[in-house]
Amino acid sequence: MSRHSRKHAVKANNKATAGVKKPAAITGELPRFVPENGPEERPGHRIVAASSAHLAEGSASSASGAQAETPGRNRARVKARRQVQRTDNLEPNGHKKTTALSIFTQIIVLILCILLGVGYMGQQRNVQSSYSSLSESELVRLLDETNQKIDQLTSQKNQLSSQLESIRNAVDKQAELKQMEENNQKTAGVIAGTLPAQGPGVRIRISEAEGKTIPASALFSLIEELRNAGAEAIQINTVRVVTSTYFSDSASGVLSDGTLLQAPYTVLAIGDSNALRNAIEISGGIGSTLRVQYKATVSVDEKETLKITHIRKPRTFQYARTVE
Amino acid sequence: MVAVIGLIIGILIGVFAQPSIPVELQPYLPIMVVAAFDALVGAARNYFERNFSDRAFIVSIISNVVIAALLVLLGNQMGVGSQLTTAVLVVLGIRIFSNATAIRRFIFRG
Repeated sequence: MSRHSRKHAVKANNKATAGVKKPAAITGELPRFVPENGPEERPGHRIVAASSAHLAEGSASSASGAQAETPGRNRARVKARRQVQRTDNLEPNGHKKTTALSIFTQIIVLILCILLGVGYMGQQRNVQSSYSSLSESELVRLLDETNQKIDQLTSQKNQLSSQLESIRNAVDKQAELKQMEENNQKTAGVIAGTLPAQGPGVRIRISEAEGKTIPASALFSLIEELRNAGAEAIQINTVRVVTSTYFSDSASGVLSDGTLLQAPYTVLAIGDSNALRNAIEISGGIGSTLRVQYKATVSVDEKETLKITHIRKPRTFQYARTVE
Repeated sequence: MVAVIGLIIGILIGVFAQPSIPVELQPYLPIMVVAAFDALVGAARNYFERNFSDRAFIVSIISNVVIAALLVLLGNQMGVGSQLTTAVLVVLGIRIFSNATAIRRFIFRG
């Protein structure tokens, strides 16, 4: 192997060089730095250059008075020259090759090195993601970080939960308020006559006798009796009775809220049907007054569901204001 | 030199293309990479000693990689996977250091 020959050449060099500590085999001892005396090294001519360098060195060292064994040096010189002849036939990399084969091998070398590079980068990327490759301190740090994050997230979750609870409560409350408001509105509407109402109550039919017109006061008393008995919504003919309803006599009949009421009158009242009936039928009450005084026929019917459909427009007050 | 160029190209491909390593290879990849590096440093040492041979380099890199992978496989099957891997890595590290020392020696010797 040419490597063997090289070793010999190297050994020759070592022997020829005076005073240079020969480095041991692979133990890492630092060789002393030998300054290059000869010309620039070229492959194939190394031995020659080295030999000339050593010759020069040898003379220099002898000039400086260093001791060198002359026979050893001569032997080395001869050996070196022989090495030169042997190595001159070979190419710089020490092997005879055809160009095609060399290109092929170079390509293979290229491919192998590319694979090596790719494998290296791939492994680098892989190593980051596996826990088994981390050191203990790194794992401890990772664990600590994870615990901290857990605490943080737990406190955040609690915060958000409480927020959600409060919002839910608010929503419930709002829904409740809305419900109450709606109820109030309904009630107010029913009372104000702006909404139709339905419920149990009584239907009173009053038909006038010939010649005897029922005055407004009688009708008013009837309405009052119904109100006192707890009627929640009252309708007479087409007029919805509210707090501001009035009855007045006119030439053509009874006026109520600007509407002319004609007999027979149909009064619908929603409330406790028993109480309402009693209010009319009680002895000495309005029912008997109407029958006796005005000879009118009064019939009271209790009904399960009574529908009061007439409504009135809501009115805005001119003088009265709410107290803020 | 061709090897250095190939190495650089491979690293660039690895950085930009980010190829995914097949799953079966993944446990063996680090050892294979280190063994290939050992063969590379050995080839560099031969280059500095002026007896570099492409053929020897190719054979050495392939044989190093295969032997290292086989050793890891053997260790996994025996149940001493991590210890054997560590041992192989130690030996490869020693070889790399020795080759590097030789290279350094040759560089500074001239």
